[in-house]
Amino acid sequence: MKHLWSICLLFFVMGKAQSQVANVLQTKQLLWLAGWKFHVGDSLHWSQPAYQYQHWEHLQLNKRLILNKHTGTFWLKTNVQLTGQSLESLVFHYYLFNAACEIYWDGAYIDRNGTIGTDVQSEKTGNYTGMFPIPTTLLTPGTHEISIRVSNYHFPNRSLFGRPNIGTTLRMQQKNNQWVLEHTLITTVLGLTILFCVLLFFGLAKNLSLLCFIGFCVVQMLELLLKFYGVYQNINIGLYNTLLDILQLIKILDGFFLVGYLVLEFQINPLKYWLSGALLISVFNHWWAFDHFSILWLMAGIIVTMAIVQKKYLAFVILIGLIGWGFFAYGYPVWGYFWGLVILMASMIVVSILQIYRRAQQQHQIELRTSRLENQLLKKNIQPHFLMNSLISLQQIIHEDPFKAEDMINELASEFQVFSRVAEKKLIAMKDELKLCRAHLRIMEYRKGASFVLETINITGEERIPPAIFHTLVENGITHGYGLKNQGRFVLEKSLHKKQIVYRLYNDGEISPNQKATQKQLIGSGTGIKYIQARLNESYGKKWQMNYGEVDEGWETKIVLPSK
Amino acid sequence: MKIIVVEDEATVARRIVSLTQAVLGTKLTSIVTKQTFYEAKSYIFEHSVDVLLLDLNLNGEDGFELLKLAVSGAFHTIVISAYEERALEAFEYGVVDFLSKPFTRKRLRQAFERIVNTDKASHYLTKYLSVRVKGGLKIVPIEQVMYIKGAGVYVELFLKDGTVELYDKTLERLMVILPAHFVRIHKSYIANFEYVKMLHAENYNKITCEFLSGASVPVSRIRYKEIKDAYDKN
Repeated sequence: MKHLWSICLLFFVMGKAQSQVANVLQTKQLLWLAGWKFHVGDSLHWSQPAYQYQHWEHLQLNKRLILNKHTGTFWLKTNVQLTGQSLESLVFHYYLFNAACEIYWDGAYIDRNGTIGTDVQSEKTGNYTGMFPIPTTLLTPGTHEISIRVSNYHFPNRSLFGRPNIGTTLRMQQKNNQWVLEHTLITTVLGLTILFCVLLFFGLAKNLSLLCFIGFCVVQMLELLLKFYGVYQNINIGLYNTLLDILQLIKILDGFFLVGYLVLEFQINPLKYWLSGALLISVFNHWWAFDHFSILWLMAGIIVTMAIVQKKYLAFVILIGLIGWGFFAYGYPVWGYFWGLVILMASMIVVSILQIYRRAQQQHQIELRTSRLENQLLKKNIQPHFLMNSLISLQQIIHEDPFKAEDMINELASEFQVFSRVAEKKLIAMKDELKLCRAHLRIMEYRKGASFVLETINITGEERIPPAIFHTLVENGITHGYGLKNQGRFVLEKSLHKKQIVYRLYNDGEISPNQKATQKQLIGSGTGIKYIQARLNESYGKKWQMNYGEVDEGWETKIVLPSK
Repeated sequence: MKIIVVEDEATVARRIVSLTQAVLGTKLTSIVTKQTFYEAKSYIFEHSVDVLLLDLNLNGEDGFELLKLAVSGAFHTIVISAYEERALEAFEYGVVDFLSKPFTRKRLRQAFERIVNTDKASHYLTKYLSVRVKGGLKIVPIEQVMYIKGAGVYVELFLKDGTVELYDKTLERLMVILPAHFVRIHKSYIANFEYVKMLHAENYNKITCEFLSGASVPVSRIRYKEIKDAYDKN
């Protein structure tokens, strides 16, 4: 703000008198030098304090003007008035000087950056930044002339310099510390955010919006890293410019990423148009070199406004972030953009995490509901047919043997009693499961005129298992294995292996040769197996295994459960 | 009537046999029970059978594959199943009746009546004919059939697209499962009235039925009046 103020002052003063003072350095102040005049040509005489240069052309601050108009050797001049304690030690500092230069203080040569030449060959460009102490002997109260001799054959089309400034050594050091601190802080924040989002992406939710967020942060980070490289390594301005060009190209993407993030996060349709629109605008923006930030902010603002209008969850949080960003970027020239960015990113993280949390919750709800529903539906699908088939057998048995019919009704009742007791539970005791299986086998004995036994090995009856899984396997075993046979033996065996409990259910069923080929496929796709899978999923997540297949003279199903 | 029962549960099989005996009485000439359809197939290969009483678990594709195979046979198929909700689909494939378990004597009698008494039989539900072709089964949508010509124990299905399929049922048995717009116009022909262009009565001795495709088949003189009425109504 201060230098702006100086510039205003300058404009005001300029028209009036000849030997105007362009800059006044107050105590402890860091002064952005303004009021520059320039003149094409070269004469060391021009550095002399007595030389009248007020008729020189005023240096337009609009960089484009100076870039295209002036190639060659020319001089820049301004002056500064020193007062009080600032006389102890002064440092002249500048950065991003796209030319070779020599600096003179009241006509005395102080230092140079690069070597001034008369063409591209003889000119040697300097480094990204430079800092020249002004000899204390030259520091006296009053007005001093600063002259810079410049040749810009290498980079005629670039802005001439960053902002030359002057201040006491102490103040300059403070400024540098501040710069380093802010730079480090922001880089850290950005870096951690990127890391956090990457972890979030791979660990929790592979959302495209998160990728866009990461992309946006990375582009911003690159800009910081380039500044870091430029300052700390003090690289040649030529190299810096090359890197800057690449960065500008990459920066086309940040509009795309930001818009992408917002559009994806808030599900603003049609997605494709928004994304391609954002990319197009960014490219044009790069081409015409409009203010990058304003366009970016405007695009984001439009989408967030739409999101708010469409009543999207948490859209207002991003709006707060955007306003914060805009406020800082315009209010605090040097690091405001990045501090504002930190606010925006914080709002983006909040939104992303809350969205992920909400989606996870919804997903969980859906899963719970489906698995419940599935269990119920599957059982409903199985039971009536079992009942109908049993009833038709009863119709016959009533005539043949009323006592047997009575017995069968008892078994039916006991099977259904246990069923209704355990169906709603997630885990039941093995003894109840065995009751179910035995009642089922008895009923099937009546129906098929066969005899079945169920033997157990190592089973205590207290084991906890999901309801009706072995019952379902027994049911399957009878359906598929005893078409031709009317004697059956089932064996349920438990064994412990490290951290796992292994149940094996064997039966000596025969598979008719016609069915053999399709048998395994048939069983695997059946409702019964789906029911078992749903139940195991419900209780053990992914920590279970089930295999089934033919073994010697029979069929075996192996279920492996975690022991805890 | 020669009956074969396919039922894998012995008790249920006894139930079906005893009820069938009670319902058909002296009309029943033979009844055998097989545990699986595949066993039944080899029996059917060697013996003639009028009706197949098929216990079918229609839960899943395999049940219907079996059903399609069954209805492609020369005999009538009555399905017995606990899967009542699949009845409509079963009818679409041309079963004569569908008994849901458990069933009564009365219901079984109705099923047999459908076979014996052709007039009562038309229930309009058949949509497909399952035709045995080389290497498997072919499902012919019934609206593709223009007319049917009897050829002894087989019939020939003349389809709209000009092709002819052989179908392993007599005209009489086929009539039982065909919808009402299929009319017996001759002792050797059944016509799909949806494709009939007009009936020509050139003289008393030669009456023909012309189809939209231009094909023409003879019409029975004795039944002409009845057929004409049916045609006019259609």
